[in-house]
Amino acid sequence: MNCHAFSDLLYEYLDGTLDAEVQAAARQHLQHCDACRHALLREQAFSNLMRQSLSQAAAGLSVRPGTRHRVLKAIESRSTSVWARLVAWKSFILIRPGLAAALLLGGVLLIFGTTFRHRSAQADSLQGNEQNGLCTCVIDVPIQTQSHVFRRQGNTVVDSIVADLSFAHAGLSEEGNQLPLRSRPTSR
Amino acid sequence: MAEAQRACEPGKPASIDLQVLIDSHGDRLLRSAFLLCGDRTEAQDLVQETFLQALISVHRFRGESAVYTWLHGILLNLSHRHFRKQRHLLFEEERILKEPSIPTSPDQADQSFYANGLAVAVQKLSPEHREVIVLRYYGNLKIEEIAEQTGVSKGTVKSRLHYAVRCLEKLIPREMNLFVTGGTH
Repeated sequence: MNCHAFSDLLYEYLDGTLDAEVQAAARQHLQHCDACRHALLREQAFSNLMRQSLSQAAAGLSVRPGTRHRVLKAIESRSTSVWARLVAWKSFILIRPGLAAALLLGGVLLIFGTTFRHRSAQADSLQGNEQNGLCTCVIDVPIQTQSHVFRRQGNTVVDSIVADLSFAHAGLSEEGNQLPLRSRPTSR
Repeated sequence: MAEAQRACEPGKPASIDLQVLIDSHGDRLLRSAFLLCGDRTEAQDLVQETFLQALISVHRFRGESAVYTWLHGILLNLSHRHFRKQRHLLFEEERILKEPSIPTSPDQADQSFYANGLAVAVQKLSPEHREVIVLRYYGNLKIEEIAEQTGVSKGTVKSRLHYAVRCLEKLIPREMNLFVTGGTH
């Protein structure tokens, strides 16, 4: 183990949570490394000072009287408020069923209306792009091509031509200029 | 844990069991809350809310950890909300790191003086760094336990601890022989 590795495992070494082998390696490293031994002692001293310091700062604090009462009251008021809302809504439906139905319908229409408006806005945007010549168009054009297959027959080489159908991939740029054709191989 | 579970059973006198929970863990939680948030009133409110949340969510506690650890986990979550409200505040870590170490005057070179100063200095750290310092040095938690409580990796805990210690080191004079040069920190 080197100093860098020990430094990385310093806290775990103090916690005693390293594997037995690693713990032994760290202990062995400490025996001949003054710097790491110093770092360990420093951390222990810092730890003691911090413990003392924080305990002093928080000493004498105790939970204020009546905490239990306040906690129970808070639980009661929370459950009451949820129940009260449910009861109020139920009473409202019973007393004004027409108004409740109208509100519900209004809410549903609002949701549908928003969705529909969003979709039509998207469609308008696409249409507008097409009109302005900003639409990108991609077409696949079938092209008959020929390929040569060479076979050896005795001392001569025979060339046979095989017809092949491949697709050329063409596109239009935003300005309407045609992009160069690029062939895309297809399976025979 | 039995006392806490009885506390929320319907028809049972919850007050008695809750009081047992408060008596057993309340003060320790409060001190931790105070060190985390730095304000006594705020700490009392945090502890009260911790017990409230504990009673509401007691059915989720499976007894895999100690009751205090469970309660402290709730307290930490609540303190995170408190910290989020403090996001607009500027913490002084960067400034502390840039400043030279505190010079010592002979009459101040006693440990208790700097111990008090250190507790104040902890409040100048950012919430994440303060949290690991409090959990490590006040809660005596191991790196693994801090990682579990805070929901971050062990590497992150060590990195935060390392940075926070570097900040606090600046506030302790060399004459105390704690931070003389030559360590791996």
